[in-house]
Amino acid sequence: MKSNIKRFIAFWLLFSFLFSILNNATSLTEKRLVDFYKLPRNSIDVIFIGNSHNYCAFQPQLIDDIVPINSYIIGGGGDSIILSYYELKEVLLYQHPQLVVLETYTLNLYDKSTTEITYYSFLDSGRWSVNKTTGFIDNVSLDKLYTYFPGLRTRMRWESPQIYIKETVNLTKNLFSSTIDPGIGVDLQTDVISEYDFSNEKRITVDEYPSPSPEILEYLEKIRQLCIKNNVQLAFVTVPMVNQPQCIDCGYAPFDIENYAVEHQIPLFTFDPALFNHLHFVDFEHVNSFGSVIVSTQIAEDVAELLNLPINKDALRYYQKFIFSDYSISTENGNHTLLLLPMTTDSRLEYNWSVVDESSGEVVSQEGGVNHNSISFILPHAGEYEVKVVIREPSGDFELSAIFPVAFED
Amino acid sequence: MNLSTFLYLVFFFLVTLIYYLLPKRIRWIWLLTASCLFCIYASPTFALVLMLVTVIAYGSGLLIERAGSRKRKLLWLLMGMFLTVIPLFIAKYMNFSINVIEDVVRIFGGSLDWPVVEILLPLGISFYTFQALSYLMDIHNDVLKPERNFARFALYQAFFPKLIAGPIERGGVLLPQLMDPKPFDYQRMLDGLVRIGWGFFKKLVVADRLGVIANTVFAAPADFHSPLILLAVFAYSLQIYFDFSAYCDIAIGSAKILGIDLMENFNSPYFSRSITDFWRRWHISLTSWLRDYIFTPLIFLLRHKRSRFYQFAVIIIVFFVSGLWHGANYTFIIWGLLHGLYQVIEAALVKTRIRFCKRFNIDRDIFGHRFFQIVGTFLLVTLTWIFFRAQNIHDAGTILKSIFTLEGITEQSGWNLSLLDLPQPDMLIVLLGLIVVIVVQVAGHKRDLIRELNNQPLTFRWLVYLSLIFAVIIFGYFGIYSAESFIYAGF
Repeated sequence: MKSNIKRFIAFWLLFSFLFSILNNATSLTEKRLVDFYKLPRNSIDVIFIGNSHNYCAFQPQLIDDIVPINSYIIGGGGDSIILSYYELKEVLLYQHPQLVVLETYTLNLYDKSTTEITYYSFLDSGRWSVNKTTGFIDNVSLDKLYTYFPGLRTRMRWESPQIYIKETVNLTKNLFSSTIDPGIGVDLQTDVISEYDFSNEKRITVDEYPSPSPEILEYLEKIRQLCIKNNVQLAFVTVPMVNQPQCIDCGYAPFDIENYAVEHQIPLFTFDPALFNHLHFVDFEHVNSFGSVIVSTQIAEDVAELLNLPINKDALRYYQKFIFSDYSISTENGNHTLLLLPMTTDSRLEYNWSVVDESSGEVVSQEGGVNHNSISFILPHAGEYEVKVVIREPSGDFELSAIFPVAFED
Repeated sequence: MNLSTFLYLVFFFLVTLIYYLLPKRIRWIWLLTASCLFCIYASPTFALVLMLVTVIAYGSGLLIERAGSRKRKLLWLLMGMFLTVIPLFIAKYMNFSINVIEDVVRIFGGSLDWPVVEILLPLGISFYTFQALSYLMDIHNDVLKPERNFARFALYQAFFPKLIAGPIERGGVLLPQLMDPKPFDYQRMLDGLVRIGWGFFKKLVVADRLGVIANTVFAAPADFHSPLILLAVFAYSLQIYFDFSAYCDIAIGSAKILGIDLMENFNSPYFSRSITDFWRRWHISLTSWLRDYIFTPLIFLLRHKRSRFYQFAVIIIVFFVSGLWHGANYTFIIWGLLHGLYQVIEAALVKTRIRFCKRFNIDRDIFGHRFFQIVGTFLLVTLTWIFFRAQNIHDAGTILKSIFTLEGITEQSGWNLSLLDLPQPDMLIVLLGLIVVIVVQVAGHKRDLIRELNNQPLTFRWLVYLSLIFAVIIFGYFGIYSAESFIYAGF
């Protein structure tokens, strides 16, 4: 009997070892979550928490230059408030920030199934924790508990098995490396929404959205209590969108954050909608790199005011040079001109322009290191083109990249 | 709870752990508790239906035994059977009966439009109802003493490994085992685990992928040409076998670990040399049930009739019931009747075939002849599966017409495998999986492979165990997309 038990244990250990390799190869990691565990303990002052609305908008490097803080972004695409709660709990295990800024779009996602799917990247990234496991059990239905293990949840994509080898190598490398992504969690979107999409998105309205589920309020309250318990200031921020989602059944239910913020005396940072137009969005709900500069510079000022911190005015002025109010594309005698309008006229920005044929990838026109904020070009034939621009300021190393779609019809 | 899910494995692990930690005399109470939880997890309503059938069968069993005369016994038996079948009739056959009445009225030029009541078919109802019926008939025939302890009888009805899709166990075999299971045995546990693993492999790696092909084509057969239709028909023929036998492997393996032997339900049915042989090897627990409780009594009743017509009529009746048991639809009835007809023809031609073989000097035992018989039987069985799987008779007709007219065989789209919704790598996996399963099937046709595996060196055994586990995990057709439930759980 003893030898049977020994054999059984040995077999189990061998199986566990092989299974862990499989789990590594199939895990769904989020870089900013993996990097989070590499941060020195209690080194972060401000945490931005939320989903894609959060990590597309705020640039910690930019904010940290303007205000003397260390900020970090947490959250994955589609995270609901339920997941944000568990993420914040995880953050507070390692960091003691002064301020938690919650991007409020997470409060508009009422469907728990969103959490179920998005939970995996949180679960797989970085270290194992009781908090993560509890959150998983709370959020995933009983019949899907097996999805705790990436190897069991993933139906393999056999058409490209090399991705699993690559993933294992990357993950192992990442686990043993101490370097953190220089973007500190930001995922800048460089595409500019097309004029057609922008006006379409703006026009569509939905008469009635579903009501937020009671769970939203429950988890928001949990977040509030967690901040109180840990003596952390909580603030809300609502990043602008072109429009609210236009589908009734896509898990969107607008939450009345303004009343909640007033009722609980929680600061709510908002942005002047007049500052945003088609230049500042990648799609109907996310800001792009242009929008991100506005949002980041303004939130830096808001954070400084809330925490009573000084502002580095030179840095602020430097980044404000990268704020653009609008753009236009005009055509005259077959000659196309794209004109970018900077907010401040005295800025000495350097533009690197290129026009690329989308179908062939061929560069149609190029202008590098110029000071003018426009490019004129002739398109050889009808089709879809992209105008790419990289904007720099000679006195600093900040770069703003963007891609404008240009459709040319005969 | 689907037996091919990881949730079941966790459930089963916990049940087994607690089971063996408890004193032997109360283990059956734990099994009953676990079986109740298993059923309630599926639906509390389903559990209530099971409870109702169990109460009826239990009470009727006692009344049959206590009845003084044969006549009274028969009366209680019929009453008990009638009441036992009512929930099954309401859940499964009421709407179909309404349809049949409407169709008959329509044939005679009338018009009826009775409302259809949407009822979800309780889990395993066909199985535990038939089990209860056999229990009552066995008591009536003095083959079995009724169980006096209600809880013990409830366990016989609800024992979770066989609850969803059988095997349909007899009281005389299962009840004593439930009360006195075999003690824990390491080797027995290993054998059970291998059996469960093999079931998972057949279900998740092979059957569920074949299911994608079959589901795609049978959902809209008119959209496909004959080559793909034929492929889907063969895919379904293999899917239903691997699916159902996989369920039985998991059920038998689970029961084995708990010290209980459930009856084997399959014996390489696709190696059958005739349809009669097929039914001796396919869904053995149902076939033997039909034989013992319908065929034999009817033949006994008609024992004085000399004409073979009566014997043939009984065969047809038995397979009509079999068809109806599988589903409340004309397609299932046709499926059953076709099997009945095949067997009648086989029985009628048996002497002719022997004479034919003698006349032309055909050795009936040579490989070529056996192979011809096996292939012929497989094709006939596969043909009937069209009716079993088609959504309605019209669809079955479309499929048959397409196959027999070779419709679209020369067209390029007729051979376009990408229309089957199964990616190419999955096609390759299913092909390799089929090869593995068939090789194991052939090797294990006349040998006990598990016993042979146990005689191999440790490293080889571990290699087999790990390969099986990881083949299921890596190649299993599951993931965040849930595994399809067992086909037979729908009956």
